[in-house]
Amino acid sequence: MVFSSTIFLFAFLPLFLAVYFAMPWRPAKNVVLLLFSLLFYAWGEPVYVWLMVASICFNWLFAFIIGKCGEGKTAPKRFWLVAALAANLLVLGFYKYQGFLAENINRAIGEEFIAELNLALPIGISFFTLQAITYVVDVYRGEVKVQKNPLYLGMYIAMFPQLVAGPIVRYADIEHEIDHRRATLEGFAQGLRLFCVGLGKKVLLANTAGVLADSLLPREAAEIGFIGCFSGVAAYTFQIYFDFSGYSDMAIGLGKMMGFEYPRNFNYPYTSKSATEFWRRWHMSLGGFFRDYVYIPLGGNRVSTPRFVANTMIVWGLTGIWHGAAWNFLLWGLYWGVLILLEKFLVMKVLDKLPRFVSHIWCVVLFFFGWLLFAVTGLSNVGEWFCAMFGAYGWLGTSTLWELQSWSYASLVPVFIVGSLPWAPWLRKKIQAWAEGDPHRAIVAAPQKGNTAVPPCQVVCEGPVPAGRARAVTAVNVLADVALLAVFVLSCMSVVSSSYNPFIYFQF
Amino acid sequence: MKLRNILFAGVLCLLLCGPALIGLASWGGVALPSWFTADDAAYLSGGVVEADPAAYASLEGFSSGEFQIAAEDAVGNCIPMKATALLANAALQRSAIETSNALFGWECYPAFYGSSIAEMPSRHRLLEIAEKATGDTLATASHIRDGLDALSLRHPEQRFFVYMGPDSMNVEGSPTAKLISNPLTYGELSSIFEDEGGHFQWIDGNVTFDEFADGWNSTDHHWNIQGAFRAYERMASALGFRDELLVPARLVTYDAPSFRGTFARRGLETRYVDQMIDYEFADFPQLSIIIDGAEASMDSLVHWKNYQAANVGANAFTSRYAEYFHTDYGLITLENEESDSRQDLLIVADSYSNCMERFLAVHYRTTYVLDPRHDDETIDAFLAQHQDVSDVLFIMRSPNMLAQATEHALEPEDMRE
Repeated sequence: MVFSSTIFLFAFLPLFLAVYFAMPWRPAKNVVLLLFSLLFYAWGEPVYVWLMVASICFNWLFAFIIGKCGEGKTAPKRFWLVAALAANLLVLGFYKYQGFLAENINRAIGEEFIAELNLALPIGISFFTLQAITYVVDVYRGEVKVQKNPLYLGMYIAMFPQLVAGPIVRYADIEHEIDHRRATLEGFAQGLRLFCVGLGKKVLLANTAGVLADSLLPREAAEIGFIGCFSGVAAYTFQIYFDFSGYSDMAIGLGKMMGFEYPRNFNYPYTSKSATEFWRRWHMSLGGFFRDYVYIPLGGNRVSTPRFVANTMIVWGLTGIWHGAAWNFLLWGLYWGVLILLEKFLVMKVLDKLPRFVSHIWCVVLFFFGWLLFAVTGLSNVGEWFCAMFGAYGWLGTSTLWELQSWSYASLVPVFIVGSLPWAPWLRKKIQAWAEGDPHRAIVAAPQKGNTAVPPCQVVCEGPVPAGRARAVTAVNVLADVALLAVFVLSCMSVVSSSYNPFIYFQF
Repeated sequence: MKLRNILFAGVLCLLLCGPALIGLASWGGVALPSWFTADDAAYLSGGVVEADPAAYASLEGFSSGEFQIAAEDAVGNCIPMKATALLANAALQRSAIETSNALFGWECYPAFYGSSIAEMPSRHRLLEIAEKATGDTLATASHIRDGLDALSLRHPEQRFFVYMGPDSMNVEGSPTAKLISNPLTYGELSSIFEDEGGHFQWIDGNVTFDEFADGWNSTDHHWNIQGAFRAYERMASALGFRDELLVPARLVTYDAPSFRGTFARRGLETRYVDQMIDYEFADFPQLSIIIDGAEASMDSLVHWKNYQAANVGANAFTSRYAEYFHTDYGLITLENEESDSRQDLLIVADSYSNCMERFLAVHYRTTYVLDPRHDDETIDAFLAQHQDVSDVLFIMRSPNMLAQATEHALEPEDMRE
């Protein structure tokens, strides 16, 4: 089941909200959330739902045992932590990487040494496994209390809003909310607003760009030439951003409706001016996970330079391979690792002295070629596409401009560009400053990198506001609500059309 | 702010509950207009997806995914104003494409992103985007040609004729074929089938694009009666009836209902419209009709009385071609007791024959019309049971000519056994 489907929007969600809010007690609400989450997962994975139940059970058990081991990082405690990590990673490794490993080992040996099982990848296994790991590790570190109620832990691991495509919500983020959250009208409405924003991004923007991306990406570079390859990667660049950030917005919005405050996952990454900044704005929850659970335990940057370089490459290699079991994903991860190191040691010194737009172009080129590595399957195809970008197959390859269909998206390019810029927070701040009569108030032109607060979908004035300006702010907020309802209706029309609705990250 | 939140949340929740309310109303027997429910959308889709989740409400049904599919279909059947949603969504995408095309000035552009239907505003028509002449397609065409040849060889006592109707993808001068690389043209297909050493006669159906525009519907893949009649003239001449061709008395045009055909449905485009036209003949023989084993009448072939009485489907996307002429059947038998001929004709055809098989039936004692898509009998088996058939005529457009159903129909009967 995906959020942008008729069954979710018109059956699952209304039924869930009705049952959830009909429950008068929070424990009952938690159980309802768990049951609906399991139903959500089982809808697409009627067999693998038992794998998730098993994951919940063994993670609960491991954390319980670790909790019983008492204070301090003792040997038994460490043993059970390692056991928990091994269990989680074995499950993830088996289902996600068995085929990849078998194929490559067999090819290297020259015979079928390991049987390729061709296992279907359980939906969301990469996400819920990492979430379970954060819980167990945080229990070990003493940062969270052991969750004695397996149903509540199950609710956390299986929670449908972020189950299949994130954000990766740490247990620590919602520990207090499990027993003490309050769903308010304001929170519910804000959650709905954010859900509308996310649905619009996913369905109206991502899916539209996806039609072009999916028609071009599988093709040979020689067939489509420079224009085909460039527009294919450009379409994918927009598709993946709107798809993933849209899904995250929907997940965060759904959480908000119930009183959960999930951290934001995207902070206008395409405004970045360096690779380093890009990864502080893109898939922030994943970056945070690898920083706190891999990079820092390895020593982070408080080690010798060679060790720091190794740590960085390990983290980025793992980041790459987490995205998919294929060499191009590993290459993609290492690509970013090398760039971040280059920036740290060489490039930033130069970039800091250049105008911002130059740094921005530098970053655009980086993530553009990064997505080429990510989206084009097969390393030989990546090489050909790369050559096509420099004219190896002419402007059009063997195709005509008309049949590439890139031209038909010309009117949408400004929409895609504006959609990936922080015009909404900029406008919000402008109106807020005007309403409060403080034009000298510092206005942040772009959201600060690393900012994990999810902004409201309306203008909120913090100080006193003259009556006339307050009415104007109200009018702006009403217009914003009308616009969001229009986005929702348009999105529903598109969902109903079901012409094209893949989630890029759905199978993770 | 509180009021605004209540209003916003209230309206959104109402929208989310729309299908549930429609479903409840339907279950409660409340009659709702078809435009308000998903009924109109069934015409756009070309049919209704029957959904019965209760039939799969079991562990087995859930594990197999059947329950989920049925539930999703059931929800889909309850979407309010579904047809409007489909058309509006396509219109929005089309407006973006048209805006983009202002920079390029192409003669044709897709009806929506990813559509296989293109619009040609200068001619007020919709077209299928041309196919490419891939190795597989050309190989399939050769394979079908070989099958026809082999069939002809197995039945030396019958004459075999093949007519492939051009369509908007492959007709000479096709506007979309000019826009893509390596298009599959009628000429290319013709050169594969028109094998001089072959044992069947190829009847060339190619026309110019202007003739095509005149003889084919603007919003539907079928020809109109004018295009069909010109094709009949070619076929009848090839069959040896050049001096006995029918002559229409007049062309009848029905101003209503408007006709939005398969291209309009697939392209979700309502701007262009066709009208039903038909020929009247002064002295057309009365044929005895049997359709799939049941007796029928001439009215079953042409529903002109319904059209004159305005007794037609109300939905804008009703399949008028099938409504006026007839829908596809497995086997139609037409007996012409007024004919002096002692010969029988077998027509192996798709829906292209639905409007014009009666013309050919005038020249034979008995005419059989077999649609391989709805009757899986081989032609070998049919001819074995109908030994009076002297002529066999294939009438299809290329997608059906090259389809598996045709391939199966051409198979030797002993290979089936």
